[in-house]
Amino acid sequence: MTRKKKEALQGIIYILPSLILILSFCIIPIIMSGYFSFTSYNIMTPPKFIGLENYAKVFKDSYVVDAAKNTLKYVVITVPIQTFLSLTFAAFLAYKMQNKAGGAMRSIMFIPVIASAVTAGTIWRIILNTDGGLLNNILGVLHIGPVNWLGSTSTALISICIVAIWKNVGYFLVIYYAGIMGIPKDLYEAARVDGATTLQQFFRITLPMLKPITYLVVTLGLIWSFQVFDLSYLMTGGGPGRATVTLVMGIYNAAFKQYKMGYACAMAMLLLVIVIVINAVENLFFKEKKEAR
Amino acid sequence: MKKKRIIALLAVAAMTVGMLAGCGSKDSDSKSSGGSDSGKKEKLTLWMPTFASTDGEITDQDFWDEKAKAFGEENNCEVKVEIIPWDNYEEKYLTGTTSDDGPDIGYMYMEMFYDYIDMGALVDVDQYFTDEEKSNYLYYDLGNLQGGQYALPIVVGNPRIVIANMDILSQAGIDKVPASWDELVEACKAIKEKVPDVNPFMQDWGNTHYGSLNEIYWPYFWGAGGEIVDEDGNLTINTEAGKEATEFLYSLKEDGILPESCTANDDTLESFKNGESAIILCASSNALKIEGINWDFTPLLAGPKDSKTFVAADSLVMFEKCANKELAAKLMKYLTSAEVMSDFHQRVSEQPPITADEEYTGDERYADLFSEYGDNFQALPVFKGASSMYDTLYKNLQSMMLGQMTPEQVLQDTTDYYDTNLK
Repeated sequence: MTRKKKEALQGIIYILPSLILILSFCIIPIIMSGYFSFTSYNIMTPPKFIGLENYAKVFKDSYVVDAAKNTLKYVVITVPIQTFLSLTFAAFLAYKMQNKAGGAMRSIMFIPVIASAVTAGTIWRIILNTDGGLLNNILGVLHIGPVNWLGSTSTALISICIVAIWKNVGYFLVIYYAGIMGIPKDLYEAARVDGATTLQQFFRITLPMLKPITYLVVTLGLIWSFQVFDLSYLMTGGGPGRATVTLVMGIYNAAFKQYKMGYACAMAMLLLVIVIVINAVENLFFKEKKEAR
Repeated sequence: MKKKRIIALLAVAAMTVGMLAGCGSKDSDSKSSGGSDSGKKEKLTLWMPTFASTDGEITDQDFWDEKAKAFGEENNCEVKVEIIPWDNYEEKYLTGTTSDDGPDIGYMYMEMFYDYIDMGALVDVDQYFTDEEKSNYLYYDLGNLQGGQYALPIVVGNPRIVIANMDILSQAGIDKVPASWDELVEACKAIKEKVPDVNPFMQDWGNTHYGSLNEIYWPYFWGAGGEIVDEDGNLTINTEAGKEATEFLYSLKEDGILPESCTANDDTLESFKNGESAIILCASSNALKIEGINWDFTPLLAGPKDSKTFVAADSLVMFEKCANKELAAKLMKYLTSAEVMSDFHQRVSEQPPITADEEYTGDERYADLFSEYGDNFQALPVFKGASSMYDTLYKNLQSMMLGQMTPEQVLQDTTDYYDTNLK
């Protein structure tokens, strides 16, 4: 065996464990979902090929349409806010709180990330309770009447967005914080010598240098947001009405409540396409900016 | 350097082998559940839901383990009991069944049956029961579904009853629990006027699960003379009866009898226990958990056409995958025997007897409930897409309570959605 072949074989062996995992839990399920999406399949009996019927139905299903609208609203609300907040907090902690208190603050802000969705959902249900909930009690002190947070269509989705932002900010904050700490200090020193203000330093040095991090944060945020399920399922069950149903909830219901695995797979494939398209657009945006620079 | 590389390669190989081993089929232990190996104990798996209260005398697991052990000793077999929590109950059954990791004997409620029977996953158990045994069961026929005896009713009870805080009622000048729609409205108006600090009536429209319909919708629907499906399985909620019941509920909200916060409320009993609500409908067993409140009840809230309320009719089922069906049937008989059920009703969950040879040992207040009102108790029908239909209806009713749909739209939209997507 030549040296080149030996090295290639070694490389294959090294990546084999990861490859097996990715194939078993990502690639093969995606291919199978793609196949099932063209079938009528109830899990217990063999799938029957029905062509594009599932896809045709998906677009006519009012539940899916409502779920897609809600998911989109959720993405539009959560991704920019959580990105902005995590960057702001990270910058504040990096520039103004390089001490023990800052460390403690970072740890505290990370707690929601490690809390399970069940715990977070349950706690927030209590906080957002209309009668006697913590938030309404606080509003009461300020002489503001109680808000039907989870029981009204106008506030239910926003309430879930708030909880999601609360849960995600800590995670992205840590990523941004690490990114900020990795920016060479001499850049700031040079800027200060040139008379740049703190704000100018932030917008002219920090933000551009954090572009790869922002790309990661936005990408992860988008993917997670499109996959929203647990908080909505736990806090409102998709209600009131269809105010908080989401695409993944639709997939879950079709698969596990209606036993329509083929239909659920068709929805899943569409979601996959949406996420890929949005990521491609995002990629283009970040690439263009990079080139322009 | 070479040594390091060899170690690394060995580590990678070990990881790969470990993962592949993890993906392998089950060991011989699972094979024995089929009972094919002579000399080994037969094995059965039993899945039961949770009934025992957290501060109860015994846990569900301990109770059923105790019974399984006794059965196992008598029949030289081993019964493995798994307690399945109510959360995502249907999903657990589906994933268990499809991954061949499900039970030999399980516990199902009405909404679950259609698909499992349709898919051929359940056994028609009629052949395993003698006429004498059948006649001893009070509700054996309730298990006759879709042309076969696919279910053996084990919990038939827990009717949704009307309970009222009598102290609040007396402050409002009322001395008995309202027993009809008109009486309910009258009582609530009086409470609203004389005891304005409490909610006259409460429903949990903020619950995340459609199961709430059993107390907040079906009793009214049936009271108006409605039927959920016809004999051919067609959805028949969009009728005059359906409209009347739905409009009545809508009027309760519009007239301020139901508070605005009902759309966020997910625990009616809690609100009653705290003295915040005067009248609610709840499961009879839950009412017994109320302490410190002077409460009374009436079994039925008579509607303009009928007096019916929801009653649970949950059953034991045998799965086709069960290797020793004779033994499984024997276990089903044992679990539903007067001996086991009587103990269950006393130590775990108070329910009425399901066999003629079991004596009623429950709360005295309910002594006549099942003997006198049995005909007024209605179980949910078995039909295709039941769970999803209930979920659609529930969500539409929530929208109505928020003023975003009319009662007519609720019924029309649910029927259209069912006919197009679920039937």
